Amino acid sequence: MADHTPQDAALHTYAQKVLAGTGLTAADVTATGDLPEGSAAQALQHGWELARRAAKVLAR
Amino acid sequence: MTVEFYDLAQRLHAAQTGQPVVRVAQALFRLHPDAILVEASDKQAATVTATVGKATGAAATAHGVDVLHALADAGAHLNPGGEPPQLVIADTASLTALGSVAHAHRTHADDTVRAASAVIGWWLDRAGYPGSGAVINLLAHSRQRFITGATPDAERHAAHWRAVFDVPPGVAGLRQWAASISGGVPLSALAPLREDDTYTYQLAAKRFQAQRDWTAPEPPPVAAMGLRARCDAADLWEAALLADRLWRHRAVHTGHVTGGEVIDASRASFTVRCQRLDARLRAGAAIVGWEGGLDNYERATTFYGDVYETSAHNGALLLKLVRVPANQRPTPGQWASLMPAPPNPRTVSMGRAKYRRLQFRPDSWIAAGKTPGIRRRDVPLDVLCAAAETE
Repeated sequence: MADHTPQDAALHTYAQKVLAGTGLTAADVTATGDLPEGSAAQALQHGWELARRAAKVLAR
Repeated sequence: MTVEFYDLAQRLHAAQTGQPVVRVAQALFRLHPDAILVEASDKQAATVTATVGKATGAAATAHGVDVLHALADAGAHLNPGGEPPQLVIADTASLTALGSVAHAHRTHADDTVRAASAVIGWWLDRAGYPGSGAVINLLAHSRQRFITGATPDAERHAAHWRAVFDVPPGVAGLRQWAASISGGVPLSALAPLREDDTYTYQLAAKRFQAQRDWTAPEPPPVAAMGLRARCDAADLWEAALLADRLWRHRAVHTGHVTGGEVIDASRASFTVRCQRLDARLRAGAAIVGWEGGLDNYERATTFYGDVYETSAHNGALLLKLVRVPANQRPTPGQWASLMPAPPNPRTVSMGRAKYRRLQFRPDSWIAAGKTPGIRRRDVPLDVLCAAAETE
């Protein structure tokens, strides 16, 4: 994700801090496939998927 | 817990789409058509400035005691038979400022001013009950229901949310902001809290009619009942959120919701093998469960029971459940989802009534206001042995 605004830059830094030590990057949110239950990668995937679904809730 | 990763993904989604992500599908409050919208500043009563408005019509800006006149004009009255007035504010700063001016003029000669002061006192109290509809703190509700493409620090400021929902500054934007975050079907599990709003408003009105000072310290039994009611409200609020289909997914990552395959069943119990070890359900916890995954909650028949025992085996958490009616139990091989059972309103009400009776009994040491003295008596040996074993 490119840094366009100070808000984007702050979020990018925050993401690095949260993901530190997991071996993951912000790009891994869109990962697909079966990931181990309870892993950071699976939590990222779940959050992203629910955000997509939530957008449909708002649209309704 | 993995909730920080879950939330981060939602922040990144919001940043990519430029839209906030809704975390709770159902509405957490109902915006009253006669809601009183206020922006107030300064903690010094003499210099408090507030702008008071309604859904329609012009807003009025007032200073000092005139703030209370403006609130009374907008509908801040104590009428035992009437609807409780709803206050809409951007954040707690406005309520703090109103509290300051209300405190300073609580004994004012004008009944209208005193009533408006007492209404603020009631608002201050109700603001401590999560899920109450008496005071709508837009910042708090926005953070509960939405997540944005920004850091948590940025989301702690009202200005951030005003920009997110593109609402104008001042009181004029409060109604639009409130409308932006209150769409959808209200969570029905919050209904008891709205009933509490009406009940406590009526009590406040009666106290005002009896010319009692709302700032006077409450007697200890009344304070104890207030604490109990706040705890009940917090429990109800947590349970209401878990009834929401989107929040339930997040709750997997805080350990409040779990699930797994049923691996064992007997006449009295069955065991669920949960893949995550971080579930918060402990032995003795009352649970509600259903067959299938998280999204099956609305379609499946729910069952209630208790966690009898928890253990870890081969990297999985085994939850042994009891007191689930035989005809509702999932069978081995099926998937079951589990979360804490919501408080039963009838049980809560009965528990509170019993607590009230205990508090107000003449021999209650809380009612008497003095701690009980030490009394010595012979203790049976069995009791001593049991205590020693416990230690």
